[in-house]
Amino acid sequence: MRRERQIAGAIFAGALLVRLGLFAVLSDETLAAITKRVELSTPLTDYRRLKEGVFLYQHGIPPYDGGVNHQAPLLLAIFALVNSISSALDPLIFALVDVACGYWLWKIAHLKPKLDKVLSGKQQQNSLRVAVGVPALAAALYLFNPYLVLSCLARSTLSFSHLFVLSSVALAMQGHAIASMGALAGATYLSFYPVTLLPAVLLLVHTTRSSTVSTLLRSRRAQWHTGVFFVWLALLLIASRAFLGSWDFVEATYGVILTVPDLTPNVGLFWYYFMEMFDHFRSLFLVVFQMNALLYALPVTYRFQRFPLFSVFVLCGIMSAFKSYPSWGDTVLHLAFLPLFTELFQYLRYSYVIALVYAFSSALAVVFYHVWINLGTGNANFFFAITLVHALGQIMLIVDTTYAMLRREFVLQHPQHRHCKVVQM
Amino acid sequence: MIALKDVTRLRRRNRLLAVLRQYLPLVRFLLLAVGIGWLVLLPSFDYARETYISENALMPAQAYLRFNQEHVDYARQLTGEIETLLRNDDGAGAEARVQEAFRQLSFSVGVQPVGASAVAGVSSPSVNVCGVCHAPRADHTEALLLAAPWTSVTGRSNARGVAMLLALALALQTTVWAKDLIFLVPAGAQGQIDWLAAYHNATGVPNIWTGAIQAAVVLDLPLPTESDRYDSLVVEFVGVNGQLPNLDLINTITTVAGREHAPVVLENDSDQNSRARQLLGSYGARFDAIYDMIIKQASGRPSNLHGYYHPYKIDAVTVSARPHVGERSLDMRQLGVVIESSFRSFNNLLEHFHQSFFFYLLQSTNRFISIANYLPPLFCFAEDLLKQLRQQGSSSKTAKDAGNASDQSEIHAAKSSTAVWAAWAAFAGCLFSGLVTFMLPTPSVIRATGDTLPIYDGMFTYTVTSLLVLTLAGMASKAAFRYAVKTERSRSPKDGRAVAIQFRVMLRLLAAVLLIVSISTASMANFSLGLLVALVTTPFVMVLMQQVPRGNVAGGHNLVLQAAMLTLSSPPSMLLLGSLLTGMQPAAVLVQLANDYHAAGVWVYPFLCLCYYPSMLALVLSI
Repeated sequence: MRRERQIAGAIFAGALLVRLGLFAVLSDETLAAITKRVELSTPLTDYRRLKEGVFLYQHGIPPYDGGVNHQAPLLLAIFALVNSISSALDPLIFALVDVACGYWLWKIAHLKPKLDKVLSGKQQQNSLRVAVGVPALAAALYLFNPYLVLSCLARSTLSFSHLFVLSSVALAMQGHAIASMGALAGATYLSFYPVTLLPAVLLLVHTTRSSTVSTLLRSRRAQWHTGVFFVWLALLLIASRAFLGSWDFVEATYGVILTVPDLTPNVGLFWYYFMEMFDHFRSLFLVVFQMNALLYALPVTYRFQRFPLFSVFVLCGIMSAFKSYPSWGDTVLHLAFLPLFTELFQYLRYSYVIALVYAFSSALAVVFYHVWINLGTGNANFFFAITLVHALGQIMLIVDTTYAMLRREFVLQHPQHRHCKVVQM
Repeated sequence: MIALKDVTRLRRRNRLLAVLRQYLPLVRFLLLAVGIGWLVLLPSFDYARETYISENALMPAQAYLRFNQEHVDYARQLTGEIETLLRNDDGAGAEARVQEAFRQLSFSVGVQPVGASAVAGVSSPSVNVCGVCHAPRADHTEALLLAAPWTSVTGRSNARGVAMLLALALALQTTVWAKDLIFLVPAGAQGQIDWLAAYHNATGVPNIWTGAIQAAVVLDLPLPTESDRYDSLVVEFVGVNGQLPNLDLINTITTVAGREHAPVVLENDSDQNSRARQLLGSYGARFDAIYDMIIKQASGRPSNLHGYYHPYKIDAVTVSARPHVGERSLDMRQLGVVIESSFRSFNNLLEHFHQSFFFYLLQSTNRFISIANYLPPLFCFAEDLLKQLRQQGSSSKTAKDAGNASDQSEIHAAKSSTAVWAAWAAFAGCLFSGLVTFMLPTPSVIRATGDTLPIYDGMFTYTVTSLLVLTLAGMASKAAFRYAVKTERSRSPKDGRAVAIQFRVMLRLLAAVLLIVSISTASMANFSLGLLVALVTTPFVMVLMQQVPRGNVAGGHNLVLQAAMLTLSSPPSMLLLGSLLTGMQPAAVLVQLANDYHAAGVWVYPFLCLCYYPSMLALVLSI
């Protein structure tokens, strides 16, 4: 344990140093160019828009006037406070938030074997090999993921949302129900979509051998914790109202997330459709697209009620593929949970293809955007095609891990059919 | 319940899959063959479409033209005058003469000094001079540009080009225009780059902005020639990173030239007496044209100054002329008329050029191949590489089984991450050495004296450092490999073989993924570069992948082969190869590559250092 802590400490320190070093070494133009990348900064997480909001707020102008800034009010408050000391501290804050995310992920990986043991009961004790080094590996893969390093250099405020999601999951696994609900409320407050994780996190809080959705629904404590979540959320909203003195921010943040008025290109599926669409179809497709992002939460949590952490993993993938303003930073949260499920790796079928799709879509997204915007020899279809491929890669990963989970479940229940081939009829 | 029917169906499917799997290696050869066959067929007429003017508003050769013999005489007189002025006194007189000519036409004049070092070696004024003819009743939001540099890209004086520019300015300003006209005399490539940057960023001098430049033509008519007759008009069009102007621009000029009975050829048209043309007739000529264009595009260098306009989304070509040899003839009047008539057509443009073809290969002035017809060979090569990867992936599984497989648990152990991490470490070492090679300072020119070749300083340091980096990368890879084998042996004594295989397969996979991704990415921006790299590497990768990775741990007999191949693929030997191909000194090749990247943003140098070289290095290390 002590050695593991040392390794983890080294990883966190290394991640922090790499980030601060890059901030120090890279020129302002390079950093500005990274911040401008649409793959990293969306209208909701763009650092420049945040600065604009902070500037407006500090000059006594309502920060949501003008429709540029869509960040949560309390983020503005934090950065207004930091700016009043020195705006040179911003990189440090973003780097620290990333490292904190790494810490919570390390914690989750540590707690997972215990969770598995509780959930699986006695009969599978021997099949659970506690993989050594997984926590450190998971944290390292998360912190040194190029997507995340770039996202940090772009100073995307998405990492705050990641921090709340990961801490909520980790706190839930430790049994700190109220704190966990508070963190989840924070994540929901910042980027709305994490609300889909609520049932899964509730299951994590109430992890016992027999906990299922139906017992959860009947349990008085679960209802109480759901109530706590909404109280936290209400508190955050009221605090924002108190900070700003008006409810304008609700439309500028959640309104924008849900109705998608800003069609700046990003790696998601919304912008192109809503750019091309006739206006009278807009509301219909808005409902369909948002349903896609939100509705899977229930069936996924229900099907994997015995594996709530796995539900969180799948739902993070669904969020990053289908949310209205995704970026490469969202993909990182999905990939963060992957190393935790080492037991699934032997059942994965398309790992090689998925890795290739990720490699291709990252390289081609940059060049297609260049061909479209800078050279003018391509057009929007080029970039949209590659965002489709990116979504395809994420969906393939979701599908493949889900398959692996179901297969593993089957094998554990029927060990005699371990080598049988599965075919679709 | 599973019905019998379903079972038989499954059996059939499995049999089919087994057959397919058996023939998979053949498919790869087939793909390579199809790719190469397609490239061989490209020059045939069946692939090409006839060029046409897509934008009706252009209406080429419909205008009444002003350029006449008087203007020719004016140009002829100016040529001599400017030529003398250029020879004396670092060309300050020539600069003043051009300014004076612009002022006489009541143009607004801008002068932009260019850093003296940029045009070292060639004596010409180091200033850009531009004159703007404001269209009297236009809204000054759009402009057309005519440029003639002081010196031609051939290194000779372009006094005739400058004189023609002034004569054309005299002829053109009498017409009523819808767009402003800019006449520019840039100081070489650097001057052109600086001028464009200053014009578009509105920084520094000249502080002249008239509007978005819709089309640009560069005149390049090097002196001396025996007479002022030429053989034919040459349209040069390949730009930075292989970018091409809109096809309508080239079409307009060639159409106008056709109407004026002025002989016109493209820069990639083959010589009358080229070997391919003599052997294969017109097919050979088209073959020459296409492959000349592909190589020019792949080099990323613009063939003339027009190339620097393309990154600003300005469609531009250079018009130059081939010296008179006998059969055909082009006189100065025809040349001027072609330019004037083309400008009158561009003046009709309602917005951008509209032709939807941005990616094309030109067989001749009136035949082009659109992207749909020339992209498939590249797909064949990429697919071929992917197939090989796939096979590597599956062969690693079988190798693991064969390597050491007494029971399940040991295979599981062999799958352990040490080999994979070691391969990643080796791969990172390759990438890093590529990065270091890219960052190495390039040799500097010691000023050449007279006619001798320029001497470069620092080539020795470059060679030694790059070889040192290479050796370090190789040693790091070996160390990672040894470490993996050692840790694995400490766990289970017999497992060295499986680890060795796994390490090599993984390293190969990583290298091949980098290669494929970078080829396909490069081809999206510069198709020809991607194609050439794919063409060179695919057979090499194929041969390499054919060989099953060895499980020997010591790797003694591979060392000589590896060392030989590493030396062959090292930057110095690549530079040597480059110098053999281009006939320049190795140092000159390097300086030019690096300078192209820094000055004009040509991506070939970083591509070679950061994508091609590391993947080749990793492939060699995985033998």
